[in-house]
Amino acid sequence: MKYKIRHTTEYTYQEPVSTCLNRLCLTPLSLPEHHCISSEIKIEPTPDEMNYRTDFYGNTLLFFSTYKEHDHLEITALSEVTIDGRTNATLASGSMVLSKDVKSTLSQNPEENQDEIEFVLPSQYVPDSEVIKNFASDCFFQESTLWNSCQLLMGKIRNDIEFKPGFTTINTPVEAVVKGKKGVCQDFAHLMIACLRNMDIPARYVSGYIETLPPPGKKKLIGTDASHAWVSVYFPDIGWVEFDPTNNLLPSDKHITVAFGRDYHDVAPIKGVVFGSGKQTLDVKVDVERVDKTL
Amino acid sequence: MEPTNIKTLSGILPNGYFANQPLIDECFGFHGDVKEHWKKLVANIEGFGPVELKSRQQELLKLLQENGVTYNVYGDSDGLNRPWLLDTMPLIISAAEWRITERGMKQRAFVLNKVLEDLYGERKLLKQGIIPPELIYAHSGFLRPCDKIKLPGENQLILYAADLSRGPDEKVWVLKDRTQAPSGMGYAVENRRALSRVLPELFKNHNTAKLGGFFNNMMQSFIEISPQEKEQPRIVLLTPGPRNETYFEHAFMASSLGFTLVQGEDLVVRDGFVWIKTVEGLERVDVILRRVDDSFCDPLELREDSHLGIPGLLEAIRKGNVAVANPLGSSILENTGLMAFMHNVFKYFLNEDPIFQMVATWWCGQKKELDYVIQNIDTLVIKKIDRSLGFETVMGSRLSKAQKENLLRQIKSQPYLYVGQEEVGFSTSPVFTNGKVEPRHTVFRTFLVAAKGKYEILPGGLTRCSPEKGSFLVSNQDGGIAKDTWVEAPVKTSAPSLFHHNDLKRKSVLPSRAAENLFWVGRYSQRVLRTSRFLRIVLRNLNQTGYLNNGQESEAQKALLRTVTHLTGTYPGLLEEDKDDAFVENRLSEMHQLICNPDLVGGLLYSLNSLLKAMYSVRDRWPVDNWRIIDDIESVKRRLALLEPQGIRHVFGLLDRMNGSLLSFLEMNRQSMYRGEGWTIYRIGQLLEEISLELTQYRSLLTFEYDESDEFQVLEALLISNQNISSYRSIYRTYFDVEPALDLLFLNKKNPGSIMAQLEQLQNYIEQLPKNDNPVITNEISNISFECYSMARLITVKKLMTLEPESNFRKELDLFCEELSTKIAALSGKLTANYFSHSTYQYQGEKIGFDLEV
Repeated sequence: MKYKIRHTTEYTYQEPVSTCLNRLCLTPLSLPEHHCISSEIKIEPTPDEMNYRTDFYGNTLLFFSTYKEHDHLEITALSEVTIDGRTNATLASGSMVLSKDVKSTLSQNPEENQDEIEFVLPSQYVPDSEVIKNFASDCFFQESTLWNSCQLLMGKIRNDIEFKPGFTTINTPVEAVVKGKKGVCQDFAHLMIACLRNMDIPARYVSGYIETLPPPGKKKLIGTDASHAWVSVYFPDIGWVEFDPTNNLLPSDKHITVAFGRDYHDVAPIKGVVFGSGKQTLDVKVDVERVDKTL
Repeated sequence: MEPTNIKTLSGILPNGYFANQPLIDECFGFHGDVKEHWKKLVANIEGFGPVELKSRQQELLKLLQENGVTYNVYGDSDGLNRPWLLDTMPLIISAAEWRITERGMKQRAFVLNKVLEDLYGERKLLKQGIIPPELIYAHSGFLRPCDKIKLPGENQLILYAADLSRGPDEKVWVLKDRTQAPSGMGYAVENRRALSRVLPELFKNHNTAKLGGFFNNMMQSFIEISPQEKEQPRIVLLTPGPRNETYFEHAFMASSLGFTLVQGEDLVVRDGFVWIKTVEGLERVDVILRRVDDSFCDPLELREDSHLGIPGLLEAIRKGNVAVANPLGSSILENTGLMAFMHNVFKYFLNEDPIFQMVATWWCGQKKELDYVIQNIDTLVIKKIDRSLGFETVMGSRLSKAQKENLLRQIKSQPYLYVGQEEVGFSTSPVFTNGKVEPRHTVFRTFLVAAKGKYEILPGGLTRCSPEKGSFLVSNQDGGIAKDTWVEAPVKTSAPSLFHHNDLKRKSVLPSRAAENLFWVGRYSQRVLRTSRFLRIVLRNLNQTGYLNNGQESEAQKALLRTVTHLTGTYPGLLEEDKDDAFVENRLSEMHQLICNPDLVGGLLYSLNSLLKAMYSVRDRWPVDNWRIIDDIESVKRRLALLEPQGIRHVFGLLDRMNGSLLSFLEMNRQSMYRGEGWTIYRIGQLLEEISLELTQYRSLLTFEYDESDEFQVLEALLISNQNISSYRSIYRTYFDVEPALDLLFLNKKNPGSIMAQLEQLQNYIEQLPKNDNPVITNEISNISFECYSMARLITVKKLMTLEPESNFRKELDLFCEELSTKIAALSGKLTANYFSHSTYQYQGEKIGFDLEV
């Protein structure tokens, strides 16, 4: 499947800002079955400095800064991605690894698994928590396979938590999401990651996009897509396998991956500092367009 | 074995020094014999005798206090002022022992440097299983954005400190490593200075290694890491600010070594470089000596809640345009869990055993070690691997059953965050306290600096002793006692002094924030002086009221009270007439509020607190003697804050003392402050404040014509509070009258406090202001100042005296004061905008939630 993605973020500042410094995480990753064919980030007004680099997790970041006074900033990321599917999901469905054995499998080989071990530890949005352990416990019974646990967990989250924008912010703790039973895709992802890590299973946060289809018989509207977030779980002997708890499905060729991290904090699409004290407004538009339907 | 009585130190060292003391002492053997390398010192100490030693000790503490040596929260209204306690007896380290210390520490620095380089580079230590990955990944000091960043040269760890102690086996142990932003070397230098000044006799017959050479090495090291190895790099010392507990040291090091003392907001990143904002514009910074914790240094990529850092700093570091020492990320080496693996790390890098033993440490992230810690918790010290997690070190043996269970539960839930360490008793050294010598547990902090691919050690250090006998708690927070530390030098050395570095030929700069603080020191000092003098007069006046005017408020008194409110800006305040019978009491209690309420904006204590805050923020810029004066002002402030309402009649003594100190402060500056940009801005602050307060006062008191007796009272009060009464009498030789008074106060150039004389000075200073890159504003400033001056030149006493027809209102005077005040305020505003640019920043908004579901 081939996609063109256009992701526009527009800031309007009430008072002009003198300087801004930003870190963007908007360039899709290239992976064995997921190729970023092209990527371009346009910024208006033209920045004084732009610098690409690869971060600790292998994601592409763009640092840019503007020292001219401005009251408006527009960031447009244009990318083309082809996706061949996600083979690991199929492999994982046959995996007999038991959930309770994952940690010990990793610790037997700390040298090889040092990267995965990091994703068992808590992080900013993923706490070590009794509440979360209790929430997850019925998906991790004595002899459940990891595959089974993940499926159960994904289903449980989808059943228990209502998708409802506006009830949470990025700083809402996952415990509060469990209690309030409402959230958006970030919350779904953070919650599932938290459950897995509290059960000693490596899990990471995936930031990206998803193709949406218009209601039957209607034309797709421009700018109606959005960023998306889901989860990637480590299966010994197979590798990372993705789960989308928001939609209770296994990503195959409709999920476009931009970055992996411990949680949202590592891979926030735009992080920035602006010098100025006035109010700001923000508008985000995303279009995911399928350009090649035959593949 | 029962220790025998000790014969030496008669009178100072009592019997029973060793009572209940199973541990080793640095100075005395078990039989009370003095160790060889302490003999000369003990003889010198004996030479003093207990009485003299005690008096020297007091002198020593007084000197340190006067020098402003503290470990505290400075200028804090809570009064958390902890004086620096320095023992009269130093710690002596023999030449032979020092050779081992030097080798051991250099070896350790070498290895830690390799670890740091590896953890932010190839991470072979993790890949090859030398260090478990969890131990690193779970530590908040492992800063992922710093991955692959390297300083030029072989040394990544530039400054290194470690706490050492002697264990029961007589060997020296490493207790902890300090690699974030090691503190203490400034205190070590100050300890030596103070001791040699107050007790020079102690040094008799000793060859003590000098400390100065180390700082030359440090300088060399900064030159090596500076971008393009500049020979004259601009080095700044980045401090969290005056509220930091070791701020004394930051200011001390900056002024001793010729670095510019800056806070995060003084610096900006632009075009990939770091710049310091000065009154003349931006100046490039090459090296940052950092005393801000690394995770706070860049709010863009590290902790977002930090206001101590510089957004974009990491990007400038990546480009190699600025060097930071210690590098960001170096706090990972303070991970307590590393102690458990250091033996293997030493083997890995050096194929050697560590020369210094480390405290036995079990990291709970491993099953076997976890079990050991759980089973032996009663004999272990439990710590978290991470200092920033805010976990107190716990002695297992001191826990109640419930506490222990709770701790065990926490450990089992996140075992990789905990270590158990052997409880080690360290040696004691003699501390002279309460007229006698007592054994106190002792920790020695040693310092190293990278130099040309190797490490150099400070031949000395910071020794700290427990505040109480028998306690192992040794830290500045807990109020330890410091000791100067003498390393026996083999031969007479002639190490260069610390002040060798002023050959840094770069022009010094005045950061905008420092300029702003100087400006406010100028303004607040005049505000405090004028307000307190006036309040004093009004208080006196109120005190007499009972006997005058048949107990009524006179017109003059009402005018004075109104003026108090105008002067302090504490509306509505005393504007309304008080018809109550107890009005004197009411007025007095309002005056008490005006003087003693720290939260009343415009009140005396409020202004005084603001003044002290501004003074502390630029303390590196004051002549040393002023530090003592500032301390004195601080102590008056504390007493004012404690003054009860009924004691308000006794405030005069305190106000006089405060004004006396403040005047000495100003005079000291007048005599010794360098006449540069800082002086200009400080003087402008003083003049603007003085002119604007005078105008407020004159407008409030002189706009209306009163009866003769009221006019007399008003003029007398004004002239006294203005310190003009004797000039008035000597010049005009007349009864108090408005016309000569107006001449004296407004236009007489020979009166240095007249509006005219001050405007003339202001005009001069304004012309000396640095011209920065904004000529439009600079011109505007100059124009306003000239307009002010012209206004005063063109007015006459006669005109000021003019009364509105059929009234007692001096309209021209009112108008003149009003217009001039407005212009002065505008001038202050323009200066602030042009020279003290504030950069407030906020975060780029984030899209909250992703409102899409398939």
